[in-house]
Amino acid sequence: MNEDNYIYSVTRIRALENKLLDKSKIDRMVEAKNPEEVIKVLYETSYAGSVSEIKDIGDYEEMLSKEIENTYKMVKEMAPEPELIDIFLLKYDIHNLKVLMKSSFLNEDNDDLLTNIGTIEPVKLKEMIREKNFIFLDPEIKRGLEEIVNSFSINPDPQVIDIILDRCLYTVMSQIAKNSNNSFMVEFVRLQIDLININMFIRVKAMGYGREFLKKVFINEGRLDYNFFVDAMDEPVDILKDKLLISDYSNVISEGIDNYIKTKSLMKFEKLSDDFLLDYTKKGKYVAFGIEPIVGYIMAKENEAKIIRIIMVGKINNIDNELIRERLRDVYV
Amino acid sequence: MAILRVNPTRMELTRLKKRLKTAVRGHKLLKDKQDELMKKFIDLIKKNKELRESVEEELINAFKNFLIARAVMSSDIIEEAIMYPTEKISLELEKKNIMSVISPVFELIKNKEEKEDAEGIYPYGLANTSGELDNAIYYLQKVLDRMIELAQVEKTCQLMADEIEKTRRRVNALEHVMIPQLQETVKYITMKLDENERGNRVRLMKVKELVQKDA
Repeated sequence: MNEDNYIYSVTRIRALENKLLDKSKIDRMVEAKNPEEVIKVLYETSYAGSVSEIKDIGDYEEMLSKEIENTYKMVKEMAPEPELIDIFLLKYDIHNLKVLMKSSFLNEDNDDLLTNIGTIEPVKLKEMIREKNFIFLDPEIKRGLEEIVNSFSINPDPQVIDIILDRCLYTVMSQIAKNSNNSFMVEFVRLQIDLININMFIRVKAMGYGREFLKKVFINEGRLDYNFFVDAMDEPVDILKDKLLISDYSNVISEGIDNYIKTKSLMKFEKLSDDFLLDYTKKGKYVAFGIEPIVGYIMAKENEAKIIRIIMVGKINNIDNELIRERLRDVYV
Repeated sequence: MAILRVNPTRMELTRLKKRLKTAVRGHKLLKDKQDELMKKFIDLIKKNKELRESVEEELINAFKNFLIARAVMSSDIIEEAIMYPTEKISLELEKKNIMSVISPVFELIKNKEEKEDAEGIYPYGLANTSGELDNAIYYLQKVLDRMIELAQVEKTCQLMADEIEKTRRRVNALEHVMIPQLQETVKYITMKLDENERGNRVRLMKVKELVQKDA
């Protein structure tokens, strides 16, 4: 892809980047006394428009997903390679598919959990699930859905739905990235998968499940392969620290795992993983023209949503400011 | 002490004496029942306190984890993750009679769906969920049995407290009202009858005297 095509979109992104929440705004939100004050701070930001629609404090969740939806819509319109944006959108499709599959097996209606953000409208997805006709979906996802239907007829286990669809998600994401021949994106997806695999590895161990289960949930497209984890299965979690000492993840791992051993909580690790990915996309700030700034912007926007959600949940539940701060992700700006 | 409004007759006296006897006997029985209830109640209260404290502690733990999970995952994702439970639970109710207090006995029946490769309690995939959710689910799962037990114990305590209250009122009524009243009345009738007897005798003596004087 010719980089010239990016001139327009990157310029626009640069303008939008200035409107992202900065550290001082976030600090003010954390220091706010109650959720209403957080909303007040948001009024001074690019969120002003969507915030004004909040009638009840509990509506912030809708506001955030609306904001994300608008961001994607805009980015997709101006990006020269919209299919690359699908890498981000796919997870929303997969979320919708999970909801729809589970609903159909439960014979329930859970349409309020569907999101409009994905690449395919939820109404169409619903139609496909109802008729069990997956022909219009990505072949990988189609295979996954068929696998779920088959496995459910033998042995209904809701976890299977999530596991298979999660695997489809990352497989398709990495396919799209590879097809684009964009090394930045390929690497981006692989980093995500690795971090998820490490996270899952620790959790599988904590749950007391063995190799069989790890094999089921493991996502293959990462840099670290299944054997890497299987070898570590019988060792204490510490081993990852040594094994990944010279990798890019060494910081995330050593701090995250130390904290995990101390508190039995993956919170720190998850935060560090998010920061790590954000950090990777921060490269976008120094690339003149290309997909990087756009990806950076998307990540920044999603990260903002996470930050606002953490602050809001914290404020609504009266959590200490320090505790909220601890959980907050870095900022892109 | 007020006495009952009865005719001071011999028949009434026998009737009242019988009632008094029953009342005393009833009082003793009720008193025994109350003591026994108290003993059981205190044991139960102790158990209740322990159970409640431990359940609350575990729940706090679970909710703390859930809150964090809730903060880092969007509500749609978290709801999707837990919308299809792996277990179906039903509650069976039986009755148990403790000192005439009909108290409930709960029994939790888990019908785990038949699976060959059961993976336990987590109904969601791991890739897009937070590890905190695992902890929350784990603690909630662990605390469920005890919550049911707590519900049972607490309800029993309530029912027993009611019963103790009722019994105490009855015992008090018997002890401080019924029995003294009956005793007073019996005394009153006996005295009245004795008085009549004496009056009669005096009258007889007087008549005899008159008759003798005339003769």
